[in-house]
Amino acid sequence: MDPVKERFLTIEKTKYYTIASPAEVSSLYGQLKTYLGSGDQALTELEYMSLMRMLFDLTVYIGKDVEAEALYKTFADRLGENSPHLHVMKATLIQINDKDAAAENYLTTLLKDSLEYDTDALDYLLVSKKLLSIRRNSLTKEKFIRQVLDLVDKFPLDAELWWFLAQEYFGLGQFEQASYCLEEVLCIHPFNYVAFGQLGQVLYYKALRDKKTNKTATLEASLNNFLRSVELSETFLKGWSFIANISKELGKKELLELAKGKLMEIQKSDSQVDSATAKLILEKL
Amino acid sequence: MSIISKVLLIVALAQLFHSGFSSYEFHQLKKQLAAGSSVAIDQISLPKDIRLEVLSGLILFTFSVFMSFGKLTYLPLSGKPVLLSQHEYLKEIDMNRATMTNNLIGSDPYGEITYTPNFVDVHAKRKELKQWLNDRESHDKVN
Repeated sequence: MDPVKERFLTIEKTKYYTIASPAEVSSLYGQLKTYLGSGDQALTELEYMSLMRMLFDLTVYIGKDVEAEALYKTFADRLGENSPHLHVMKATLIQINDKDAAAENYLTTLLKDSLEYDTDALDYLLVSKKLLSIRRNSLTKEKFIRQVLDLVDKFPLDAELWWFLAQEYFGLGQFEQASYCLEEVLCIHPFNYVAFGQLGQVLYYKALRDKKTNKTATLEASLNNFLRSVELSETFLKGWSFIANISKELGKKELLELAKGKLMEIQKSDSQVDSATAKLILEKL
Repeated sequence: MSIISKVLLIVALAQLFHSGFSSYEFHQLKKQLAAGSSVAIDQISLPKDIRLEVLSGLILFTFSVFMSFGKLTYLPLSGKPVLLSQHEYLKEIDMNRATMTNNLIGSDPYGEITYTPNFVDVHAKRKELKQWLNDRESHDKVN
C-alpha cells in the first residue's frame, strides 16, 4: 500500500489526531486537504469518508468553523442527518457556534425522544459519550464518574469507557479502582499490550505508595504485566523501560541486562522518538 | 514493480504467447499430414524448442513476480516524513514481531480506546491550537 495513504488511514483508525500536538494537527490538516483534493484513485469510498470525518474534526480543532459546517452538510446530504456520527458532529457544531448548554440540550432531547426506544446501540453509545464529554467540566468529579459508571452499566463491553474510567481514577490517585478498570479492558482485548503496560504503570505507582510489606508483591505484579506487554510487542519501549527500572529495584540482574539489551536495540531503531527516549532511559539506569 | 521485473514479465508473456501459437501451428500441420499421407503421426511429438520456450517463459514469469516485490516502507505518524523500512518484503505473522511496525511508526493500534477519542474536550483543543497559531504568528513577525 502507498505509504502516504497508509499513514493517513492509520492516523484515522487509531485516532492519533485527537492527541496530536497543535503543530502536528495544523500540518496534518494541510496535508490531508491536499491529499483528498488530489483524488487518489486507490481510496475506496469507505476510506474516503473516514478521512473526510477526520478532516471535519481537524477543521473544528483548527477553528475553521465555516469549513466544518460545509463538511457536515456534505455528510448530511449524503447520509441523512439521522446517523450516529452525524449526531455527534452536529453536537460539536452547536458547541462551537452556540454554547455547551445548547449542545447538551440537543443530545439530551435526542436520547429521551428517540434513542432510548431505538435499537441502535452505537448511536446511543456515541451520543452518550459526547454528552459526557460536554458535561465533564461542569460536573463535580464524583457526579461525573457516577454518570460514566451508569453508562458502563449499560455498555459493559465498551473498552473505551473502562479506559476512560481508569484514567479518571488514576488522576484521583485511586489506583485499585484504576487497575480494576484496566483489567476489564484486558478482558475485552486480551492482546492489548498498551493496556498491559498501563496496568503495570498503575501498579507501579501503587507500589510506590504502598507500605514496605506490600511493596515487593505489588512491584512483582507490575513487573509481570510489563513482561506480558513486551511478550506481545517485542519493541514496546514503555514496557522495557519499566522492566529495567523495576528489575533494578528488585535486584533481578538477568532481567535488568535483558531490558538494557532491548533498550539498546530500540535506541538503534529508525524511530526517532523511541530512539531518543531509549537513550535517555539507558543513561539514567 | 521495478523495471527489471517489468521487462522480464513482458519477455515471459511474449514467450508464452509465442510458444502457444507455435504449438497451435504444429497441431494444424499434424492434422494436415494425417489427412494427406500415410505417415505415422502418433510418433511425431511437440518439438523440443517449443517445450523449452514454454519452460523458459514460466521460469521468467516466476522470476518477474518475485522481483516485483519491494521492501515494505512506512511513514511515521508524527515528526519528519522520512520513509522507514524494516528491510522486509512481507509483513510479520507473529504478533510480537508484527507490532514492531507499529512501534517503528509511533502508532498505537488500540488508539481508538487508549486515546479516548469520543471524550475529547473540543473547547480545550481549540484553545490550545489558537494559542499555538497566535504564538507562531508573533514569532513570524519578530523574525
